[in-house]
Amino acid sequence: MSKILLLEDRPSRQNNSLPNGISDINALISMNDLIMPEGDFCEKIINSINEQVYEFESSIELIIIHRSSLSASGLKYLDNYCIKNNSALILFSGGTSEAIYNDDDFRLLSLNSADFYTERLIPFIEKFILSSDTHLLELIQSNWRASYLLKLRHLIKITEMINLSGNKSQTNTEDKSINPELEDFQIIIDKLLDQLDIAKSDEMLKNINYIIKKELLKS
Amino acid sequence: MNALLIYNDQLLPNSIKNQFEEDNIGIAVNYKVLKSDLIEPNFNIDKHISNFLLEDEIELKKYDVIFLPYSLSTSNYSEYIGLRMAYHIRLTDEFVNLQTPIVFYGEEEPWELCKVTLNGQILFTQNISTTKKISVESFRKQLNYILEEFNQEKDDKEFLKGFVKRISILPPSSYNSHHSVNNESALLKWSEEIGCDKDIPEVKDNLQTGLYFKYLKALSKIKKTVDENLEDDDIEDDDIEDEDIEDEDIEAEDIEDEDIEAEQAEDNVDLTNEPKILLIDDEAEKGWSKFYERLLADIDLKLTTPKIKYKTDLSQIDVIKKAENAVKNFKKNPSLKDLPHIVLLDLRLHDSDFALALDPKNLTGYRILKRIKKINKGIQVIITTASNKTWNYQALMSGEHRADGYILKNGEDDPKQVLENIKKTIENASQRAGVLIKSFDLIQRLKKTEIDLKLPDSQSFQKSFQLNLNIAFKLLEESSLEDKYRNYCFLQLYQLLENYANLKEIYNFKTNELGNGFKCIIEVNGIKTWKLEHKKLPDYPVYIIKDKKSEKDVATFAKLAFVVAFLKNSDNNCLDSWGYLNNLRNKKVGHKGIEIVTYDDIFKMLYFCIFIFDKTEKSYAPPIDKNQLDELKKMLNSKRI
Repeated sequence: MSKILLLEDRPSRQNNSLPNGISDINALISMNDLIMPEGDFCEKIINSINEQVYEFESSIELIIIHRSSLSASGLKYLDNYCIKNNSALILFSGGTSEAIYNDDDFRLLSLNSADFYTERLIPFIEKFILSSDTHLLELIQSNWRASYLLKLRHLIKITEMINLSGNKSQTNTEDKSINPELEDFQIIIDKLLDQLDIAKSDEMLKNINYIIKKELLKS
Repeated sequence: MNALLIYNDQLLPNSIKNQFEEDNIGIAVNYKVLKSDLIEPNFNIDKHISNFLLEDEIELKKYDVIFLPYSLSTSNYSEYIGLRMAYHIRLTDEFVNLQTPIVFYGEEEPWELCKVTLNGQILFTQNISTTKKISVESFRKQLNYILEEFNQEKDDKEFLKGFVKRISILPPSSYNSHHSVNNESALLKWSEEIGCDKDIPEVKDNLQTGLYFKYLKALSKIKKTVDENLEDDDIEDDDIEDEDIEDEDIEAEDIEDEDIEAEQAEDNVDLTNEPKILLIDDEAEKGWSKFYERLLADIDLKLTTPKIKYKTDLSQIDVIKKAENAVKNFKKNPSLKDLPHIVLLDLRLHDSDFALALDPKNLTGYRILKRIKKINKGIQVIITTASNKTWNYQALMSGEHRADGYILKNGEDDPKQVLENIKKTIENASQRAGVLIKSFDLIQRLKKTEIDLKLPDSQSFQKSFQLNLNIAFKLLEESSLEDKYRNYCFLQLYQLLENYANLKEIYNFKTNELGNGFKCIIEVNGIKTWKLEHKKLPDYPVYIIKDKKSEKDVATFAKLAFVVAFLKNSDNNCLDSWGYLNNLRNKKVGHKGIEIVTYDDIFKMLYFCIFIFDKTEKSYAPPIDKNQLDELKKMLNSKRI
């Protein structure tokens, strides 16, 4: 079980935006592993984050917070905490135009409030509590597998292209594997295959377009 | 060659980028959203892209072609920021590449892109092509083809028109039914018009870099072109009409306007030092407060904004109460002179106001309007809203608690004209406010008086008394539209006195003091005298006023004079004032109705009514000097026989 901290300083928006209003809020409140402070207590926590003095419970694996309630120092504090503890972070705000995901240091999703408070929120939180490996993109119904497959195809084509140009410019006696650029892309490809839980095979590489089509048609 | 290659260094080999530049095809620029960008407080992808195009490494010039990948994201490849960037390239004026051919590179099929993102529409617009071949050789071929085959550019406006026709950009999902969009675009345009846009950096930033706002700007540009073309067609007709107007007519019109303004100036009773305006708007801090302050400075009006934290943990009722208190505690003193003259009131002040299919009467702004009007109906409430729904307008501008003006926040209309109208709306409200606030207060005072009537029909008299007062205030409100309603208001108040004077029973009040059979003669303005006779009605004794000479029942004038003189034990000064008011009624208002009474006359009448009906009111306002009063009393006593 993983714990989630949800900080919303505008509960009226929560009530209005969630599809089932108060009953959805009650459902969230009833979740033992979701910490959702209200009113003054919530404000106090946000203030102490902005003052960089808040002490998180050690087991918090996902922090969800209204971006506009945070100052630059508050955001920096959360950044440091998430790097150190490998926690995930979701920032929602009415001023955000498009959802952007980044997993350079830790899993970070920035999205619009209206895209956050949807019918997908409760199932997502339930799933995340059960497994902290739950992909943050599931919250915005983005087909993350399709996204990874599309990237995989792109990188496969890029490596093919590098190989092709290498073949043209280099003699047969030279070892192509020493191309560091190729090596870098290969590492990313292997990681993607791992995340997608797909075994690398010539068959798979040949059928990548079909696999993508199948995945896209699901969404 | 002059091409621009945009890439993400984790998705494109450096060798391609290097060779692209070494072969002098053009420049190659790396774009990516870093985690450090994402944790900036005001991060927004549109702002990030706009800054990249205008402020970073890219030289601001017209390129022969722009090579752009579909995706520029590594963590979530299918964000397809490359497609979004293409919209920015087309819709950012300062980037000067409106018509530059864009070649998208990547493995994606158009259907795949359209399946994942709405931004795929751009693939089907002019000067867009795609390639799956990601190599310098391919880029060079594409460039050569474009340089050879690309036709001469169209007119920019024509191109833009074709472009926006084929795309649609949705507002950010939390922008509720265009409300926030209109709100912000109006704020920016109007602030620009009066030169205070530097005070709203956040809004300015949002509107100048947001893709949706760039799209709206393009739409408005096209609309403007169509309007200009239509105006050009009309110019000839206008010229002909202008020639037909003779100079003399223009001069005559000017003189008439001057006269009207002079009359209006006389009628405007400035009861307080200066009109006061209160702004109740959840976006006040965003810039509306500064905007109104600057706008109103031109017409010498001042504005204050209560500090209400609309966007925190406040319930709708909390917001309503806080707004109501802000009105009551204006300048921390709830006395009449410290009520705000005008309240600029936003209609949607709470998150609950954005629920779909909400009855306009449940909107926070409407509920506050009702409460303000209960405090004092004379406070001028001007609704400011970004919603152009007519049912809102109808609900607000009708009924018992109606608004006194309506400002539609809409950035699409000509800002110069709109701001002139806003100033006029506020100025007119300011002129009305002083009179109406004071009148309302006096009428309320009258309504609270308990008229001591021991009559079988006293209840019906009280009812009609209240009704007549309500009507009088409504007529006064209407008088801002047409002066004649001021006369009707005067007559309505006179009617109160007349009804009262016609109650024979009121004259039995001091039978003991006067004694049975006591006769007196009263005199008003030294012109007429009446005698008072004691009569015994079947149930109780009364005094009847009769014309001394004719012995006939006399008019209201005489009856009220009797009330003034004997019931109120008042002085000649008061009788003279009654004479003045009665004369106004007979000569100016009542029969011919050609002349219009002033607001000052209305106040005199109201004070007179208070004097008559309020038992606690011992003298007729304005109060006079005590010594003078004693002297007048002596004079009055000497006249009583």
